[in-house]
Amino acid sequence: MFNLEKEIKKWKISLRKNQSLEDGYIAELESHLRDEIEQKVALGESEEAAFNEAKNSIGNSENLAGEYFKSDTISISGRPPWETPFWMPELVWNYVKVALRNIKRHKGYSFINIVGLSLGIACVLIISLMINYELSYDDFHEKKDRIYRVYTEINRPSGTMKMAPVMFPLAPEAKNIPEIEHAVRISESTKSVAYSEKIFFERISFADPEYLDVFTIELKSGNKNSVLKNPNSIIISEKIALKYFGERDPVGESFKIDNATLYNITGVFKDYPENSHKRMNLIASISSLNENNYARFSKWTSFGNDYTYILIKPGMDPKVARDKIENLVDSKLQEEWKQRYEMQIQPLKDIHFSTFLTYEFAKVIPVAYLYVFGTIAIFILIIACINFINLSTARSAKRNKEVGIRKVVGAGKFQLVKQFLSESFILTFISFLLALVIIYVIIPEVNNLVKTNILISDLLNWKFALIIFAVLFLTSLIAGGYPAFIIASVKPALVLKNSLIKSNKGYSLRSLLVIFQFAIASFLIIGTFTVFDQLDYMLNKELGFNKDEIIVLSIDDEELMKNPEPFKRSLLNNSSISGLTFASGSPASGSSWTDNIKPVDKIDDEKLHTQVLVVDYDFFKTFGIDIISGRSFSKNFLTDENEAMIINQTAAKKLGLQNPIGTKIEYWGDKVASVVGIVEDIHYGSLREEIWPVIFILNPTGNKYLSIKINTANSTETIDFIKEKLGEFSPGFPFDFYFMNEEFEKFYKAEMSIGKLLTYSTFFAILISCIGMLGLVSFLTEQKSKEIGVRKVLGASAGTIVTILSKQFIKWVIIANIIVIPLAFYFAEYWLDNFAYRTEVNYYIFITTIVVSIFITLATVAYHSLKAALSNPVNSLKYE
Amino acid sequence: MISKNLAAASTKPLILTILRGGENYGYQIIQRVKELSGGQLEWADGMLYPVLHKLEKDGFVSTSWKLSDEGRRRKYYQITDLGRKELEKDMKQWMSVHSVMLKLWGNNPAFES
Repeated sequence: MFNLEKEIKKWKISLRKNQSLEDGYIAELESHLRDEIEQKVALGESEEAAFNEAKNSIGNSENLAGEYFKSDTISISGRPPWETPFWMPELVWNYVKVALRNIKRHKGYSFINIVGLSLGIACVLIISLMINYELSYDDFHEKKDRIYRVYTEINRPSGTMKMAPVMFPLAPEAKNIPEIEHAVRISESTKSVAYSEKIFFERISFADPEYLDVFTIELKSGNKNSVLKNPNSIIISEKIALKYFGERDPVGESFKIDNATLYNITGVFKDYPENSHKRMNLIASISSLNENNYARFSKWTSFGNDYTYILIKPGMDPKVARDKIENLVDSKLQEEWKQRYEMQIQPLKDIHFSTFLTYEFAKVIPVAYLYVFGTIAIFILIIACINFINLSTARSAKRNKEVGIRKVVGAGKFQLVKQFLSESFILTFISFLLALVIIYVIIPEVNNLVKTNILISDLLNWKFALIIFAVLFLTSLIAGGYPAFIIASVKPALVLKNSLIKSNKGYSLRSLLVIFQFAIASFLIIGTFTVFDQLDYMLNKELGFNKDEIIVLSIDDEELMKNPEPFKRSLLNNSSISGLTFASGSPASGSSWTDNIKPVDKIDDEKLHTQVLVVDYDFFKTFGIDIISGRSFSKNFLTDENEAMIINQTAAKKLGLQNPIGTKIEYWGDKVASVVGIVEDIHYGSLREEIWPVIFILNPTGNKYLSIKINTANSTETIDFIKEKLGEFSPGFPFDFYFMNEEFEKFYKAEMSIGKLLTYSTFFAILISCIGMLGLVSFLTEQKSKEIGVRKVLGASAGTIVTILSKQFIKWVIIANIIVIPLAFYFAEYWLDNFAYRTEVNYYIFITTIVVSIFITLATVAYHSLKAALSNPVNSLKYE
Repeated sequence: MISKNLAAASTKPLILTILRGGENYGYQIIQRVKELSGGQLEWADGMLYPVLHKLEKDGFVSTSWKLSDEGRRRKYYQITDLGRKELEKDMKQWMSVHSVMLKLWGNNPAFES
């Protein structure tokens, strides 16, 4: 039966619970309630209905109390005390205290978490620093946004070739285009540079005087407007100044170049920063070049190491400038060439990544590598986060009591989540500090490895402040978020009644995450193996000659070249020297001439772009290159000097000749020679490229490159001997040599750096995964100690126990490998396809990866599982 | 329906005006408001009391507990001089807003429809 008075009393009690509702307020509300009920009853409603309606019309007691509180309080926020504040400074200290206590109490787990996270954060930051460094190329040029480089696109029926060089006479004409402020040339060649007794081969860049207006180069001495004005002027970097002059001021001195011409040193400039697409050491005035001493001086269809940059006027459209350059070039070319040459431009900042151009003289890297390493960095951080998630969820039961008590004294779920998040933030922050130490230690190593110039102070800018903040924030959110929700959702009643003892919460997620970790690690292992496989392939592939026994000398002495026989004979007297040859180039020298050739009876459009090597009689013998058909150059045929040509297999194939021997071929414009022999293909350059068609022309006298086949057993003495003989026969010229195999290795520097970087990344990924696994297995053995005890009592051997404990992990490893292998195979194939000559993806890699990862897993799991297996069951089964 | 913000802003002058006609208690005040507005102006009944409390704290109304005919205690509210002045101020403000609105909308046929 409904009792109005009792209900009203109950209602009043419920109101009184709220401290803001004083007795007076409640009395007034009661009076209102009674008036309302009276009225409703008078209208014929039952007491019960009237009471409920009246109660509802007064409204929610908490809102009401809130309004009363607002009118009573002087506090600004107007937040009633029974609502939890969003921010409780008093509690923050408690959170920090509890977090630090937890870190201290569970040293092992904290260590694992902190080390894993700090390695992860360090990896991310170092890789970000590297990426930042690569992106910073050419940033130091003040006008970088307006500088473009012109490059050439050559369209032939056989395909399109894009190359960095452009026509030498282009720049002076392009200056007249209204959109262009300056057009400047860089023309490079290697020459011997002498000052008193010091003589070396140096790379000299001939440049227009405006070069110094376009690019930002700091002159230590000399006037910017005049240093490159006069012919035979040269400015040098501090490095070169030190090399030739020591501490003395070189301005006013002069260099003897090519043992013939004197160049006045008019200025010294600060060394180019490392992150410059091109670092020049000697810049000579381009007016030193003229019609007589420079073959390409006024040629519009001949290309060499001539590069052109343009500075676009502010606000002008570079596309318009490009179109005008194109028109300009067309106006200089004969009708049939107009379609062939297409001029393009690229922004200065793109040059460092322009891997698509041949004859590139800049330092370039594929932009894809930045993405790859960025991804790897993120993966490593994810691995570290997974450790954190796994360990925290696995151990969440340990904190149930704390959570229970906090909830009982009034903490809400959201508040607890905040607490655990702040805990993970504290851990992340400590890890970050440790990461800074790791970075500090590792940066010199990284710089050494990938030839960068990264400073730890690079971290001190707003960009990195943002990255660091994002990394810290995201890491603590990703790593701490899920565990925080798991832990915070504990039901206090169950915990405190002790009925929630063991929970396997998050087990399936945990296995998923561990599988993911292993998958990433396996992927990296496979990637590393593939890169090294390819490197190994490239370094050891049969090139068609023995690169290990050959040293190469640059010869600049024209007198010696005219009559090299006495010099050759005196060298061959040494028993360690088994052969030598003069040629216009040498494998891996990077130096080659090219020409467009055709059989005399073909039309122009069918010309073939080939390399041209001018060699002496001994070239094929010295390198051990087989003649496949026909014959080698021979002194018995007097006509060989002018009318014979030898081609390689590729050239024979590409020319499409049925019977090449005897075919007359047109080369160097108007010259004609008959093919007398075909030689086997050799790899003249990088294995990244297809073998070029090559034609060999005979020049029995000297040439720029002298390749000498020596016995490597006593190479030091032999080199000294060669040096002595060269000094005798060619006084006043530098002795400059290299081992050909070292030169070949230089081709694969990028792959080597990547291989090393991948090795390190893989190592860290595995290390962090193992650290996490170690934590997980130690927790699991602890949790299973009773089970192990019971099993041992029932007669299980230590071996069985270890098997039981490791089985789980092995299962995860195998699943991870099964998932990742097809993916890794696909990526490996994709990467290898960049190379013209590539290894196959070896199946042993996958088997090795599985074996290695199982082995690592077992090694990691072994210690704890053995300890558990060997422990005395009494200890775990004893019941206090 | 009148929006929550407008209702909240108009509560004070409304109550003070009702009280200008003589002392009254909470329940009656609410009934008057409902009556006058024809249901257009509706609060959760309970919400009136914190407002009255605030008016009392600001000194615009004074209160006294009285026994009703049925022997129940009721809290009666009387407007004070300060309250009257406040009301006049409020009225001026409301009227000036009103006249501006009238000028703006008075000739607008779209509004009349």
